Amino acid sequence: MAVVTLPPEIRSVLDNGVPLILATCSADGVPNTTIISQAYYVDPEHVALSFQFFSKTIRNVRENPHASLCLNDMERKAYWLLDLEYERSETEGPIFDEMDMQIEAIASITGMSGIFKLRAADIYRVRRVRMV
Amino acid sequence: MQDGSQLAEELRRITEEVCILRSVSTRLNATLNLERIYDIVLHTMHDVFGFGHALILLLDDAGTALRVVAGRGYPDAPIGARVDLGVGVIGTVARKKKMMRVGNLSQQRAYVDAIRKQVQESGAAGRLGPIPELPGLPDAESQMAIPLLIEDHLVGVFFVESVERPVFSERDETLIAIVANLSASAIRNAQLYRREELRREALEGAVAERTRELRSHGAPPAAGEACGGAPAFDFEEIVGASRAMDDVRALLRKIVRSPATTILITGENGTGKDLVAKVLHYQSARAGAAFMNITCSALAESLLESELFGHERGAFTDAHKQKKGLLELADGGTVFLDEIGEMGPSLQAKLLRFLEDKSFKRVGGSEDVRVDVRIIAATNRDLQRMVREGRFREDLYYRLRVVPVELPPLRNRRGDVPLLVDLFLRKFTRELGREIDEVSREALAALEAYDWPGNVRELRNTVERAVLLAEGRTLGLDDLRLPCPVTGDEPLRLSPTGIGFEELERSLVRQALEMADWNKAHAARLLGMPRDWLRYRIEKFGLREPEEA
Amino acid sequence: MVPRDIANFLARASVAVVSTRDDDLVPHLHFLSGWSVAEDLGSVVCLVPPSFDDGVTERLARHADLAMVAEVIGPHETYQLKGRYIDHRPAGEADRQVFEECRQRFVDAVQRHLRGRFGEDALRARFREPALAVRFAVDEVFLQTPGPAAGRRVYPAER
Repeated sequence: MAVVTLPPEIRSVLDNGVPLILATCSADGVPNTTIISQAYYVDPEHVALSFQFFSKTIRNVRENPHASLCLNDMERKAYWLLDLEYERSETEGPIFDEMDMQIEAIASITGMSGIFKLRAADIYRVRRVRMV
Repeated sequence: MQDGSQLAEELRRITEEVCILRSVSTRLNATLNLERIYDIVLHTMHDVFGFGHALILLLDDAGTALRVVAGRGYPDAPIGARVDLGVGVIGTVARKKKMMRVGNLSQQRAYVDAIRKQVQESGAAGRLGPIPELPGLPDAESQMAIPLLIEDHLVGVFFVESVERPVFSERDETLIAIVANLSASAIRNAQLYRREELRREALEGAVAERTRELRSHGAPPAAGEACGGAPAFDFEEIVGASRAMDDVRALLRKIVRSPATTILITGENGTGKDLVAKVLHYQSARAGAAFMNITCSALAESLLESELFGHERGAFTDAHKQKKGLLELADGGTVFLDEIGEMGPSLQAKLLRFLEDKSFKRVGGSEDVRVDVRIIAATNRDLQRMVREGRFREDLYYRLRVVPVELPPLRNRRGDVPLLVDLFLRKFTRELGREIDEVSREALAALEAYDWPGNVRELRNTVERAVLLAEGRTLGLDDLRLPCPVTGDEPLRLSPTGIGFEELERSLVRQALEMADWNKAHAARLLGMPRDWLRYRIEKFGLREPEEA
Repeated sequence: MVPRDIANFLARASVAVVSTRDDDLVPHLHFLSGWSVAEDLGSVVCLVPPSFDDGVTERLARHADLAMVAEVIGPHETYQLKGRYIDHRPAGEADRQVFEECRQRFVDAVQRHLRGRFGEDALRARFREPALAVRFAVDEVFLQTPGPAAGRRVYPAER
């Protein structure tokens, strides 16, 4: 399969703070839609999503790696649709550490240390990028 | 793809940023005043780069929390506010020693508040912790914190936040990180300088008091007579029965008769150059006046000039009052300039003028000051070679070298080793309250055979350590722990059982300091590291110069 | 059947998205222009704009399962409705009012909670004129408000 890379303009969209929509599908074909607060740019071919509470999403991608992510580009008045494929989960390393630092900082100022905590960083490969 | 005008604008912006950063670097290097450093940094962040609100926090002495020391852009800067390590953006950055940007905070707070509410409603409110009170704006939309590090040692944290900006960009992060890194060194140096300044003021006060005391006694004390418990510094202190040392003492006896003569003492480290300088002072007619000494490598040239010649009020940024230099304080006495080879060219010129005219101007002053001071200089460098290489003024060299005194290295007078060992054994058994009667033949043979690269000082330290650690009443070979000389062909080998690296590092730093008599520049050279690195290790290991008995 | 409280929630929700899936189990997202609950609470109608209607009816004809998530922006109150596609039709005049109400709720909520960070035009542009009205029956509803309880089924209630 040809390598797909994220266009540079996506980085500011990932940082714009607008919640994203993530869709997954179980192995028996039932879709699942969820709203997430943040996705992290890893490199031109990958994004990472934080795994704080165990959920259907987490379960789905481990059965069926396909996922779809929708970003709101307020500047261009457009949406970005990313077809993703779950690759792996990290519980240590630079990506995990950076995400963990952020979550830990926010949790500590809201009295949520230990509750709002990064369990893992799920790494997804980008398979398709479209702007609509 | 950017068009031409966009590229031109980008280039203009980068050029402007580089100019600003260069100016910051220059201004930070020009001061050792902490408040001035804070002002430069905060002005750059807030007024120049427009980064909303900024705080500087420093790690407290206990190393468990940060305190706000300066702020800009706040109606009421939270000076003194505390942030524990690991709490909030600032505390997390301090604990992890990594920078961090957070944005869209209102959304993040709303998200986490939703979770918090759910936890409370589920009856698990007991799991929730208190919401800490932190400095900063409650409605900040973006924040960035950069750790201020000196070789992975946390000095503090630099923090900026904005209500308007939803997120700080990578470019913002780069700019702030550069300023933070520049300021980390400046802050650390200023902290150390402040500590040294306080110590120096205390010492100056003590010297001035002692000088007044001596003068108030009327006639100066007879040569060789101790003054109120101070050491006699007579010729017998220069121990050695060798021909070389006999010659040295004979020369010194002649020199003391002419108290005006400038003297240059040469010799390797640890050969007793400062002892000779003191003997020359206290055995001369100048004994009643002050003996001042300074190590030329210990201070930057501008500070050395001020130390030696004093300064007028307003001569430079931190010169809040007139200060007399060592030359004025030692009027009638002696100034000992150790490591004269490290003196920079402009100061060499000023010293030469003083030697010729017996007068000088204070830094920033316009009037000549005349004093009667004998200069004794010392060096372990080959000044003649430095003159040939253009690094030392030839005219100053000859002016200093009116009477040269060369001290032989200990390895050239091995016959004096037993005498010195005996002297130090008696001294340290008395001081340390040990009962040690003698040195074994084996140990003495080893002491005589060793080359003593650190000369008499190293021998003294070796005997002191041996007296402290010896088990019986005889100092044996094992008590000496003479180092194995390490050459380029013999790398230090790691034992199969490993080593405590930090302990080894601590021991080497302490030995170098002792060998260099706590002259940090010299100790740094012995260890082959920059002075800053040595200062950091002195702080890290809590090493303190022992006080004179 | 749509529980009454969920119907009330949807009448307050500021944003909603539906996902479908294809033969390869790849999920597809459809940002909605509007949504409403049938008066008899038997179904939900989702208004899909042209940019998100590509292949949706074909997929639903082959795989009827879909999942709709809706959120009240601000408190992050969120539910996910899972169900089965019933039918679809082109969006008509009646749907226009639903579209405009949903769009206005979205604009108001974002401006209230994000302190005017985005202009009204940019926000209104997020909701595009609907092309399709897709109807589905609700089988399950899950709490999706962020927190440890997210994922709990509220309809039918978990035993």
